[in-house]
Amino acid sequence: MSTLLSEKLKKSSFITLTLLTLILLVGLVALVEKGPIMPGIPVGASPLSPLSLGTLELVYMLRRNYTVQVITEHNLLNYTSGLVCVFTTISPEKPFTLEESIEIVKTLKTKCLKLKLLVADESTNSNNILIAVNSTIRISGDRILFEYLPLLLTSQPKNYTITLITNTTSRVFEPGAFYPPALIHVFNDHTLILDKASSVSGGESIGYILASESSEVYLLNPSGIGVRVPLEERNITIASRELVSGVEVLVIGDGSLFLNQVLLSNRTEYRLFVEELFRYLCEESSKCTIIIDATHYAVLALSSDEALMYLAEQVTHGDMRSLLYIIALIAPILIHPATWLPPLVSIISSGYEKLVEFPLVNMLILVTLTLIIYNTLSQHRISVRDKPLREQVEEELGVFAELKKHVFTRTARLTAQDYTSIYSVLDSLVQLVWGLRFENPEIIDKLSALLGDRVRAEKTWYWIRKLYLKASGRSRFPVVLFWSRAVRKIVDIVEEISNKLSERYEAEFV
Amino acid sequence: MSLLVTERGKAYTLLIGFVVALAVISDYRLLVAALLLLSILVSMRMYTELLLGVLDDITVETSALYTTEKEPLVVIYKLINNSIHSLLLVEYSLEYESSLILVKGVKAGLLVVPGKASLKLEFVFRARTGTHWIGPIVVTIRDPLGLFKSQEFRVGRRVEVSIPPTIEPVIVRRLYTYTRSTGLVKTRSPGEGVEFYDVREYRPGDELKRVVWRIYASRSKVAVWEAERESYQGVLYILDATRDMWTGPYNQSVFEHSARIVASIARYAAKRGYVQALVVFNETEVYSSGRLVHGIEGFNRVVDTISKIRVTSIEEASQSSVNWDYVLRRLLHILPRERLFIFIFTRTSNNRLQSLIEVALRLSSLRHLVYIVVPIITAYDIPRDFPRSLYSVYRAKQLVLLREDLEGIVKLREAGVRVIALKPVHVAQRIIQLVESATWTRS
Repeated sequence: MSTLLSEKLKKSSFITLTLLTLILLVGLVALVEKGPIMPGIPVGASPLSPLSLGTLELVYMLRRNYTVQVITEHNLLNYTSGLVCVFTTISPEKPFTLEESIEIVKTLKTKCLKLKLLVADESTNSNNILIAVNSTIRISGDRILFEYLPLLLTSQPKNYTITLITNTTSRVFEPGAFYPPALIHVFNDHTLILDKASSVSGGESIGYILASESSEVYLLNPSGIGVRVPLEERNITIASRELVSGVEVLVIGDGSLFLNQVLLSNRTEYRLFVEELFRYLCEESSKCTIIIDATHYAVLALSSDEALMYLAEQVTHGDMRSLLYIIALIAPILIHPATWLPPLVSIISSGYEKLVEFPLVNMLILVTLTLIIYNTLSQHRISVRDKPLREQVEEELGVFAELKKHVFTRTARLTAQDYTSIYSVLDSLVQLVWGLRFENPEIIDKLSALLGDRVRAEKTWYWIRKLYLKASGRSRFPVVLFWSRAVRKIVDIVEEISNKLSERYEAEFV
Repeated sequence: MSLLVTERGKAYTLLIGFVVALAVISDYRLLVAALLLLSILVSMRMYTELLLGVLDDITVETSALYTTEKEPLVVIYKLINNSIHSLLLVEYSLEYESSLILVKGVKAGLLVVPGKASLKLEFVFRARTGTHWIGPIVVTIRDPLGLFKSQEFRVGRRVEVSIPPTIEPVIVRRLYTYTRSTGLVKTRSPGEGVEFYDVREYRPGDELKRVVWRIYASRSKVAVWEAERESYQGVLYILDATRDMWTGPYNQSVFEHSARIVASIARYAAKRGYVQALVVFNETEVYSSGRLVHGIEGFNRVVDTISKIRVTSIEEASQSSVNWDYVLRRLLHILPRERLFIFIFTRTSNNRLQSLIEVALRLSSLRHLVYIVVPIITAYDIPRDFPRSLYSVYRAKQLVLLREDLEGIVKLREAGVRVIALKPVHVAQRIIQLVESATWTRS
């Protein structure tokens, strides 16, 4: 078998474009059926949150110098180890239960040589962990409001409104001017503006509110009742430390010092404070493991209204980072076929239903669809006419083939021209044999000798000459003549002469 | 792409597309019909692909049986199906040289080769002198509905056969009778030869095998027989095999007549111990039998050389013409110094007349005796299937065509070239007469 055929067979592909398209289509439908993966949004000061209120930046910052472990599940604590471990919790959204706090402390004590605890919280959510280490420090959960100057009353509420019930029972409308300045001592003193800070009780105070005579300090309890703090008590403790059974506990009544928006702001004092704080806690050693709790924050599914509201709130604060984060979260959902395919199919379907109401459009769709299907099925194959194989034609060679064909088809007719040609043959023949032209009367003698009949020879010679003169247009006689018969007769004569010459001379033309 | 869609297949596909579109637009139940149509299309394609695979498993054995132009030429293609599947209804067509005539066998048709079986295709041709080709077999596959069709594949190999001309025993016999009766071959002196000359007394040195024991037994005398010293000539044949030399009925063309005449003369000349050689040419090829050789080897070489020539196609004949300079160079390469008889078998049509005159005169100038031999075409047989009522018309037209040849002969003679223009039956005798009656001999 020819190798050509084998090569041709090898060229055919097993995975056609149609099959590939079909597989893609099935995959698309499966994706729609499965739906997109909904990412969760960590809410609050979660170390997983890159939003302005998250603490991811703190994680990045600490990772430059220390081993940082973000705990998303409690059992991850089992993998913790180090000379110094600093368990850090910053403004947890969910309260620590006592059981889990005891478990955390117990685990860390077994895993780490030295355990330290940093609680930066303005709520009472972290108090249980303080209880778990037998610390006397507690976070009050109140809110310290601070005013440098006497309160200005304004009738234009802006970002938020605080209803402050004082002993004068006056209503105060003031935008963000209640942030208290504080001084926290680590290695050095750090003067920082706090956000929503809570007072801290117990332990050794290392931080307090910087109040002056001209300023006012209020304490707002969780139920919203504010109490003006007397002048002599205005230096409220907002940070304390304590060493309990080998566990050093450091509590700051404000978690906002560690937020992304603070650490990423153009103010360096917060970063310096945070760096110094952890340098202190790690005892200026890099062999320190900082464990940041991420288990006490709510994670909202992106599809939930709550999450979207939360994100919208972040964006309205003009935080570009949050905006980019949202885009990064939403983009995969938008790209996912489950988002766009069902509406698209629905739009196409409704559009199609409207279109087919018009007969002309209906016809156009029919033709287009027909052509598309035809094109798909035919796969641009070359079409051929289904003709039988060419049969080998046998040919007779040369002029005789044509001659035979003409004679068979009766298209060959004998004319005066044929007569002239045959006369020329006869003329050539006699020239070859006798050296005389046929028009020469001496030929009669030669012919009579050849034919053995002088009368016939004469008659033949005259007849041939007479018709030759007519055929060549030199005579009009005979008037009535059938050239067909005349040609046949001269052929017979030529053949007879030829045969006689053959008999007589054997090699007649030599 | 080995599989093609026929126009019918395209129309069928369009119908499927239309039914599907109709189902989508108006009634989805039509999808059943569309699927049915589609399944037919797919099954037809699978069928054709399967046959293509089977065809790939076919092996073909080719053989050719031939002897001379008198015997039929038989070419056999044996198709062996190595697959377990049958090769069904495959269309085939045999390719062969258009100048050949198939007398037995079917040159195109449908074939079936069952699985693990074989099929023998036998083609019998009327043999004719020269080299001819037969095969390969062209096959194509299509499905029963004609929706798909494969490309054309060639299976088996092309067979090339070189068929020698036959010797006309009648002519050879007549040549012997003629030369003997006229005494042309007698040199009347003892010497080397094969014919008996006389018996003489034994002389020392005579070969023992020459002793005539019958005489010794009857007369008690040791006598030996003597051979007649044979006269012999050098003969060179130049055979024109250009396309128009093949003109005429099958096996009766000018070339084939000439080839048979040459073969018959060569056979006679071999017996007579003449040295001989041949040059045969067409528009594209020139073959030479080599230097002049005597005896049966000379004959064999002449016949083999004739069998090498092929019929040129119309394209070849129209695109090229005989390179007479090259022919002449090949001739001069084998020409001895001794005078030869050179016979150029050709036609005298106008297109080659001038070249013929130049070649003839050039060879004559080298002291050779050059003859242009022109078998007269009107002496040829009328085809057997020709209607008698049209005999005269055919004859008349033949005579008209003869005129050119005759005029050429006249011109050649006027140019001083010797011409033998005869019926084929007389040519051999005339040539032998010329050769044998030559007064000079080679010793």
